[in-house]
Amino acid sequence: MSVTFQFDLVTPEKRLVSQEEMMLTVPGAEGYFGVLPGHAPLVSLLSVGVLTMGEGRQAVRYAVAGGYAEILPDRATILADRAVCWDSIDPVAVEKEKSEAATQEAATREDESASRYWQKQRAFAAVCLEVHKRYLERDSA
Amino acid sequence: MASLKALRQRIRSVTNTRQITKAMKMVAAAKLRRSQERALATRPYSMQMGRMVQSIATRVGKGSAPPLLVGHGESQKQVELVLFTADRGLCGSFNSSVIRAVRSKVAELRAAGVQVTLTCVGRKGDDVLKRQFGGSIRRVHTGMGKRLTFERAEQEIARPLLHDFEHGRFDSCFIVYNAFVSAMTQTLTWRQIIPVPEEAMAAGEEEHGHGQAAPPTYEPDEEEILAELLPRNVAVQIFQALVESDASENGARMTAMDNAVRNAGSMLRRLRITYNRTRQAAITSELMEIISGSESLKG
Repeated sequence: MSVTFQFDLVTPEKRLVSQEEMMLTVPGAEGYFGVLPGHAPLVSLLSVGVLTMGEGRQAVRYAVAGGYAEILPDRATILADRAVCWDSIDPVAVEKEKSEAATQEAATREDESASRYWQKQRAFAAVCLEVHKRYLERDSA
Repeated sequence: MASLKALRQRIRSVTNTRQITKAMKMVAAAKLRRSQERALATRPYSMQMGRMVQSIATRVGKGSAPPLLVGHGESQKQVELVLFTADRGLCGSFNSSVIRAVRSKVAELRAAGVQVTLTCVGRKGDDVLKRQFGGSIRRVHTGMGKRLTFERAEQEIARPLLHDFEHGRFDSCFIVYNAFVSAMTQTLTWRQIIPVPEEAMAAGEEEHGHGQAAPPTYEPDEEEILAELLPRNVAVQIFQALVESDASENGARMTAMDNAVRNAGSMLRRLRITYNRTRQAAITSELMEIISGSESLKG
């Protein structure tokens, strides 16, 4: 068994990552799960959370806003609704997005699907901020 | 033969036209590069998405399958067509090929006793079709090219469409758009997005048959994933059509403008020849008059 597997992270707008990877931690709908080469076939919904590639200090993290993961023994494909790498997050813009999402969420309370959408956007913004903070911490450490 | 003055004016106006079309070509070329990149960048996602829908769809029992997958029932009484055109013209046969296809499809469906409603993405489609099918146009979306994001496609186009489907306002939905091949070529593409077409499901079944050995685990379960996946798939297909159409539009406009520049150039050449000939003829005849005048004075 090889020690790596093919990993693809795609969003509707573009393919963000396509490379060999040794380990993933995925924010599944029913909790985080790890993926190593030879994982049993799995299709899972994602929740808003942090996707980690690798582990320890070499890890690269992405904030993802839900989507799907398709895991095969030699391949992992993540279809994320939105995804941002932790080093490219602009905290000011995200903060603004977050408050915008919060007001929209309040404004669309009657329309269930719209309000759910904005709630998700807000959660995503929160995750972005958190991930960014951790990135800064790692850098300063 | 036209007068010298008229010819001069004509030359000036053709030169202006050439100037303008050249500028438009440049603009289209610059836009094309960006929109082409985007169209290619979105393909992996929509392809993966399609694959996933297929592989899950084949594993869900017919009875419990959601309507987005199998439709409301057997009857096909009400069809929704979503057509993607540009907001502006001057891009060759880009708009007219979509419009022509929609016209013949509508005629065909109506002849078969099916009701048809239209959603126009892009102003041009609405402009032309409202004369003929004014009452059937349910929605018009314009200005999508200005800020083309997945979120917009999902919220503005896909959400109302899904809402209509859930309320039984149509049984199946097709999209028609120009798929991007290269700057010179676009292919008109029809695709059924609601419900998931049978052939696609059959293909998925086959692939699954001699594909992976063990069926994957689903988390949560198939139904729940499908409930998320299917509406999203509709939005993805629409977004893909949007970016493809946008890239095709710029390609078509660039090609059309390139032709226009060339036509203006050759017209200019012909006009200059005529102009110079006329000028020469005028000079010659003037000379003749002077010479014959002086000859007659001598004699």
